[in-house]
Amino acid sequence: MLRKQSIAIAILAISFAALSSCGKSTTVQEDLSKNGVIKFGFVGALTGDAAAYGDPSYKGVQMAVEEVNASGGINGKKLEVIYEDGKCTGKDATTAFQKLTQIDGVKVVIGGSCSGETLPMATMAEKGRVILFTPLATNPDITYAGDLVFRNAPSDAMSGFTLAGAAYNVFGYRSVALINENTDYAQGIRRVFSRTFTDLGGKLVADENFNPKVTDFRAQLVKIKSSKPDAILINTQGPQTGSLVAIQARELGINVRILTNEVLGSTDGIKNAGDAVEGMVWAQPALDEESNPTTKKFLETYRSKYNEEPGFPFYAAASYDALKILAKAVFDVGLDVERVRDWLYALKDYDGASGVGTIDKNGDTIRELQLFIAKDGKIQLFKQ
Amino acid sequence: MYEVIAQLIVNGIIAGSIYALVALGLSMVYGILHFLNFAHGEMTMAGAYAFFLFYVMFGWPMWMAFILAIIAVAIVGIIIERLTFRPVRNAPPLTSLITSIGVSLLLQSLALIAFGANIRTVRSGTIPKGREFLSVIITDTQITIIIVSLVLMVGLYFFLKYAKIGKAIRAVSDNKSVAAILGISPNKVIMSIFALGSALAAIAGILVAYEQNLEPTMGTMLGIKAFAAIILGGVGSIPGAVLGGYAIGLAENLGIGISIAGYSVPSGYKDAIAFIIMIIVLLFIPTGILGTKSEEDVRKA
Repeated sequence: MLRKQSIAIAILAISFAALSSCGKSTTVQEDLSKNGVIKFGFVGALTGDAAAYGDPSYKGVQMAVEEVNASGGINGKKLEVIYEDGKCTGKDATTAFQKLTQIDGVKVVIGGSCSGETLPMATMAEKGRVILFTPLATNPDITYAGDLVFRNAPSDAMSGFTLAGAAYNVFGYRSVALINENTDYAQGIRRVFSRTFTDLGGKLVADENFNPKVTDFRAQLVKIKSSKPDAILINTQGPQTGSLVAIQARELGINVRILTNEVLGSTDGIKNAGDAVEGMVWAQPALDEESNPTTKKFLETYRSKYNEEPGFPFYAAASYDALKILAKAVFDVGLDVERVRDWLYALKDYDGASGVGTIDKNGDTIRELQLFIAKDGKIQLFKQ
Repeated sequence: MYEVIAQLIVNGIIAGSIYALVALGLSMVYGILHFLNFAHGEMTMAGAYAFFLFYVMFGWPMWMAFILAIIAVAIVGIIIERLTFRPVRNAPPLTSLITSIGVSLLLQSLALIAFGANIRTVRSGTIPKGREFLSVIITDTQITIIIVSLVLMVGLYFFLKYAKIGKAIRAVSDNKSVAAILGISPNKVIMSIFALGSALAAIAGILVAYEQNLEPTMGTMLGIKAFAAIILGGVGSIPGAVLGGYAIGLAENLGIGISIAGYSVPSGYKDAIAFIIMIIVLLFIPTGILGTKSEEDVRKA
């Protein structure tokens, strides 16, 4: 009797367990938001010249959100991201940040796509105790922008350094002329490039600047032409502006090699500028599509989902990774700012679509950079 | 050094041609209605986008897109005058000025909705290298800008001097009431001024769009430069607007290009040059170089 009863109870218990687990999995599939919603914020350049990289970043994040929710959300809760347009300006980014943190009550923000967005938001993130994670902003000052500010983009301390080194050692240039936009991003590169190049023994024969939204650079370019440089560094915030500078330089008969940043050094920039940028050189991290399966899968999904080649593939991948990393952090330690911060500082060898990354004590991810060249209208790895 | 200065002067003339074209319309409106039309700069943007729409998006032939874009913007100018400025015409000039700021924002937002915030380009393909004359480099497009502007300015001068409607414009500009007594309809004259000014600004916008690129806020800076030009040249004076336009263009280019004893204006301050000139002119010669005291000012004094 006892035996029969215990078997019956056992069967009942098993079926209950099976039933309940079954039920649980179906609710997860159908409506995660019943269990509550976890909200992240996103601030990036969704319009304007900088949307050239703000848009792929947005799409990378969106893809990651869908994957997180398809695999059960964060602890059964649905992940939602509220997207705001920072327009690549500090003013719009801080307004968006304020809205996200104070009205939507978001504790984690991904962005911005420009250094000019990220630096003012960093100050607010520190004060308001919000995690700010930027997959794109590269200004060297972001390294020291605060305890809660992280990034998985390379610092320009790296790209400016690599480019200046290559200009002096690989190409043997002794004089370079600079034309820079007055934005945090471009000025960051200008600072590092100038310092590195002069330390090596090179000379900056011209150092010209212009304000955002300007479309006539001829006066600056005439000065650059008369300084007879070995090469010219075109350092703008957006690819359209950069290609316009390149075109006007060529029209004025400046025929030396163009060095640039990774903004003009992109499919967008090369498409606009055409043969004006043939032979142009820049430094940026590379995506390893051939041997990294995560990267390969990311790019394939991106192409099939959006029906296009990502304009800035590394930054699309870094944005995808940024969301995955933050989702994992919240999954592991919950939505607690201090604990998420400690989790991020402890992150080692994260194997993402943008490559393997480790966050250092300043919240930066160290990236290896490579030299690229525009050849026959295409981007190629520069071989020495 | 000679080559640099020569090149800077040519660049200044190219920029100045555009400023002068925009300044003409602004000055004509001020001459009659006595308010600064902040929406005037947006007419360059409207011209640029109309051209972009017809030439790039519809793929029409360039001459056709050019002419239709100018006509379209002239009509837009007339509609704006009819709907926004005419109802407030008899209010103090400040009302019209504030109305024009509103119209300016409205037009920018409409362009933003219709075409998006992205920067657009009209030209594509290979970049033709500039022609070289006496070590000065200039492209075909830039030569076109200079010639088109000159032809339009000379044409406008003769139009105002000899054409019937041109004479009517000058009459209304001199004295609105007397002109009305003599049977000249101020409404008709003001309408034609808006059409003419908008068309000139549209041509400037198309030239900028073809040579450089276009975005919804492109007209704002051009409009402000045109303000500086007419203040320098004399508000309400047609030759003054032309002179002011060229002077601002040259000052901007030479100001940052030429160094005196090793010092020059840092190039990041290029746009500030026009405003510094504007402030100096307002302080020391408030009527501008070719301006005359307006009738009201004379009466007050």
